[in-house]
Amino acid sequence: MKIKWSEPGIPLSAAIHAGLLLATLIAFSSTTKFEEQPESIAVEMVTSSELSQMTKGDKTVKVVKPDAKIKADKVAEEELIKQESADAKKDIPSPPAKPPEPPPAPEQKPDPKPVPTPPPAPTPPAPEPKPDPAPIDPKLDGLKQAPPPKPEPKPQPPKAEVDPLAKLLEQDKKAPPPKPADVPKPPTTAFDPAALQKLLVSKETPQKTASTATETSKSSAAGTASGTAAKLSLSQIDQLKGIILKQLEQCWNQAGLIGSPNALHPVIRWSLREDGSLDGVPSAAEPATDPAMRAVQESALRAVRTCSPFSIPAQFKPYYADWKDWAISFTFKDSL
Amino acid sequence: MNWNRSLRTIVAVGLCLYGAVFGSPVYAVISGDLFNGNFKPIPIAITDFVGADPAMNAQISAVITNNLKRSGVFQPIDKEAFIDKTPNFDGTPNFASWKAINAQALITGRVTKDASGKVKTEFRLWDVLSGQQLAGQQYVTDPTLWRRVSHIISDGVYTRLTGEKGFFDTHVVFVDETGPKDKRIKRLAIMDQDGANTRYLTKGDELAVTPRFSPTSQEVAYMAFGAGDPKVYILNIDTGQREVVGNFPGMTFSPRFSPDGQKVIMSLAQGAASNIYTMDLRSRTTTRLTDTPAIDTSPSYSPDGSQIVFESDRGGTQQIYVMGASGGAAKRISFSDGARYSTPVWSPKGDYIAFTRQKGGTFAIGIMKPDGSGERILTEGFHNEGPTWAPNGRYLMFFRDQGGAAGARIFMVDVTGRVEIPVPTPAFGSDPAWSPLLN
Repeated sequence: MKIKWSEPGIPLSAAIHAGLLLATLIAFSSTTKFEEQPESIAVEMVTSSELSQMTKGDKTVKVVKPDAKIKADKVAEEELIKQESADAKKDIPSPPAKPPEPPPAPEQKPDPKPVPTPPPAPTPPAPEPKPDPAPIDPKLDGLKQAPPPKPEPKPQPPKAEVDPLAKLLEQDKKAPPPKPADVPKPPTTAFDPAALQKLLVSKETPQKTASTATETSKSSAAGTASGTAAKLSLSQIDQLKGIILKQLEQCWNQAGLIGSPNALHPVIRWSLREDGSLDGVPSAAEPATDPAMRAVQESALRAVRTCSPFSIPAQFKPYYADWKDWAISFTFKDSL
Repeated sequence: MNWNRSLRTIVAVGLCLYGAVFGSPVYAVISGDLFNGNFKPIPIAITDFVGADPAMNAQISAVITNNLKRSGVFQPIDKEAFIDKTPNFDGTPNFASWKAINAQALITGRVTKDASGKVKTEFRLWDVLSGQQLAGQQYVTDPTLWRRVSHIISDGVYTRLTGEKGFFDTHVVFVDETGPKDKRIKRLAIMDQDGANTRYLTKGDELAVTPRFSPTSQEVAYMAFGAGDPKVYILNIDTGQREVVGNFPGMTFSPRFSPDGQKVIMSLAQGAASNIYTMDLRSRTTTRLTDTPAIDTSPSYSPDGSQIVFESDRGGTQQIYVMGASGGAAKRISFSDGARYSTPVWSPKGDYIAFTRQKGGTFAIGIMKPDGSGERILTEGFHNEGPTWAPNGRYLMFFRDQGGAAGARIFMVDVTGRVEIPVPTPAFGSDPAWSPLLN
């Protein structure tokens, strides 16, 4: 492109633009890098009634959990973390839609045991749409006279059917608890315990209304820079830094130091143990170049040693890996 | 357009390269800046030196302890608290027992006499917290010089821990004042900087004032009111001999030596005016530096000998001026509203000028930078006057006259103003002048 000096417009503009860009690059080359932000965790609101539904347990599960836990609080197994790390950034899929009505033709599973006469009033209640981890006695459901379904149907056996009911109860105890999807029966079909039993033993995944919260772990994630392990946030690190610097102020005796016309700021490095005491020895990042610098360095080293053991507030103690190592610049300007 | 496309490519490539070079890996070290500390003195344990003569050993420790305490930099720990009272000088101390009493530094020492009657004094300075020896030295001297050895050891410890030159092995010349207030006998005296070892240099038949040390020799210049006009004299401390500096008509006063010790600078009163003159001590030639109808007095050389600071009322009130060493234009450097400045003295480090300031009825001793900035008052109140610098430029002595029936007393202050302590003299004392380091 020929540069016409009589019409310098475009090349001049390009040159100025390039110059500005270069200046900006240089000017901003020294900005601090954005610190790594803590990873965001998907959160879904859960009402207290849904929470109690979730904690009731599941009849199909072989092992009975000792106490009901909110899913989000479960301590994760290692594989789970790694797997979720890879997927962590994906959106948690929304829960599968719950069928408002029962499936029109539920599976008819043969009942292994002979069942005595079916109840005289086969008016089973409307299907139970909600996930009901509590053991529901389908037989009892069938026995119910009252049509409206209750979330937790209470057993109300008529006195005449005690014996078969007792047997059924026994059977049902041994059988795994029903899946909510399997509980509802079509009103028209006759009550078939065998089919129901078949349903009960099926191992379909229960549907849940709540999303699977990312399971948190109390120990830090090994290896991944963006793991889901708990870490100190930036403001927490600043807070702890402030606490440690305040202690160092009390320990750093500057009497007699002369500094130099420019400020001296030797960097001192040290590591701490979990109880806040020194791990190893503090050291200066660079050797001193003259007696004045050496005096300031030594006063700083004495300060770190005097302050040990540092007082670390309890809320920071679990995050030891985040505050193990320190590199502090002790800035001394002649106090005149 | 080609221009824009290539520019964009360049910028994109540049940004990628920048990212590659400056992108730093995540590293879990907490870094930060500490800007403040405190000014508490360093807790130090000074054990009694071991050796054949326990009385002398205890005295050496006492002089060192007193020196270090007076500097304000150290806090000697009471000997009663020591757990390990007599550590083995040649072995490593039991640092745990010194940490237990919160000592950060430890001095141990030993004195031994050899066959010829000379005394060998040794010391070690330990860093208790790191368990390292920081300094160690030995001196062989005549037994009578044990005080000087104590001061030299004090300087060694002070220098090692502050990075600054010491000031303990020095003398101070001052005006000793005795007798009733209206009939004071003023004679020159010399003492160690801690107030010990005082002896008199003049008899007291002449009023002797404003003594000043030579930087290079054992000589003191001073002014004496003898039979005629007051005159400047030079006195040799060792021999006691003195001579008159020049033979000027009229009063000569406030003499000082040049940094090379070859000249004396002073002011000469002629009628109502006073001007500044120098005299070469060998050739006896005099040079006039100022020529004003004002009172120019109290001159002091910069340590490199290139400039002079002095007091003048040429602007209407007493202020401080800086001028080249051969005269010429003088620049005013003192500017506080309504204040009068006098007795300027240039620090041996060259970084500050000390002065007496009078403002609103109070007297203060202060320092300022040679360009007049950074003025800082170190002590205020009473009649404070006449600062003199320690050779390391970190301490000053001055005198204070509290008025009434009492007389003047000498005090020491540090450049931060945090340390201020009296200097003991046998009687009243004024006009101190600090010698260079003796060793």
